[in-house]
Amino acid sequence: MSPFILVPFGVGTLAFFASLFLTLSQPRPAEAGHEAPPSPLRRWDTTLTWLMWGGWGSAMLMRFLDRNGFLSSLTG
Amino acid sequence: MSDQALDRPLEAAPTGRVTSFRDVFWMVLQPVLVLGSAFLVATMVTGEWMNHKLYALVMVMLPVPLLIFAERRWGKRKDWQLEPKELAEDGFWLAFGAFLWGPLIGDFYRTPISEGFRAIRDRALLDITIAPESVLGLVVAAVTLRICSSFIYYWLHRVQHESLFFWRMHATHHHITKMSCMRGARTHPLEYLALALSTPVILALVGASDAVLAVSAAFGVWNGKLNHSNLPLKSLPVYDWIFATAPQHHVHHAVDRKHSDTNYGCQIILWDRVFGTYCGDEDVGAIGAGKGVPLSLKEQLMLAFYPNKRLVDL
Repeated sequence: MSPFILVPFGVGTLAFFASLFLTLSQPRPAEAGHEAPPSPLRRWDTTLTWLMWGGWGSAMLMRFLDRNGFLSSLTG
Repeated sequence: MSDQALDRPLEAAPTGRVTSFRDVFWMVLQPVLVLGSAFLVATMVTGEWMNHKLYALVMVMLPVPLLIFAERRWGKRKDWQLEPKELAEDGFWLAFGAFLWGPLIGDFYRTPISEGFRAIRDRALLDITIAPESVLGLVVAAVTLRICSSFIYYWLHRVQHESLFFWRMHATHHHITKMSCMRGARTHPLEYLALALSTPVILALVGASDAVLAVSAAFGVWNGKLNHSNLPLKSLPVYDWIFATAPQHHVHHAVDRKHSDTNYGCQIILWDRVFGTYCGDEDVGAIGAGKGVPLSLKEQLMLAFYPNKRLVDL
């Protein structure tokens, strides 16, 4: 397996745990009540979520290319 | 077959009562497909016309569209029919399991854990290697391997249900609220790590050829998809003494703990019968875990890391 795959995989995993930290640091909707204002951290959470899916998705794509011999031809 | 199966009430026919050709058909379909795929792969191996593309076609590409079509046409329950968004979500879990979590964990077990197992095997008193060359021999070896590895799987799975610490890695799989063929792949990455342990442990004790593993995988892939499918499959007597069937596994996915804490064997039901956790009920009711509500994709990945209170409140 190409070690390059671990880069987007690591980015996705870090974003996942950062998003998890933000999720746990905010009260659940049931606890906060219906009239609670949206958290200022919500935008960060959205960004982290995109990074998470992007990182893991890229890792999956790269592994597929690697398995079929395309990655080595792209990276020389 | 007509849409009659979709329209009937939730109550199923009493266990083992065969009333028509339809019942016989749905009773023999699972054994024919599961054992048939094992015999097909064994024939491919012994006939030396095996290649990885054909294998992927039979094991991965073929069952999914076939079973999705069958679920649309002959679904067991209307309330389990998937929306397009849910189908896409199932596709996500299947793709991530097949192309990311599975290979990464597979690589992890190959090195360095598999080296440790090999060292244990080299020091074992009995030098056993299973490498039959006939079609029947390969199928028998694969089923034997399944029964042995299912013993470890059974206890790992049971511990996951009985301990909150281990439940957190298994909860993702039980938070499905509908049964469907691709939902066996809805497995948390941490759970892949734990449950994938059973086969390497058995292989460490009993060496098996790649051909036996290929036949065993064929059995497992088809059986796993059928057991989670929304099809009116019935348990075939005698076959269901040893092999897990769809009605048995649907009981395991019930939201009611009395039902979900039974039938731990997903491929082999024998150990549930031996250790007293077998349940032959067919009236499943609601599917899911906790409050029985569907969770977002992200929440399904995160719940393994939730504090206990938040996890049990889901």
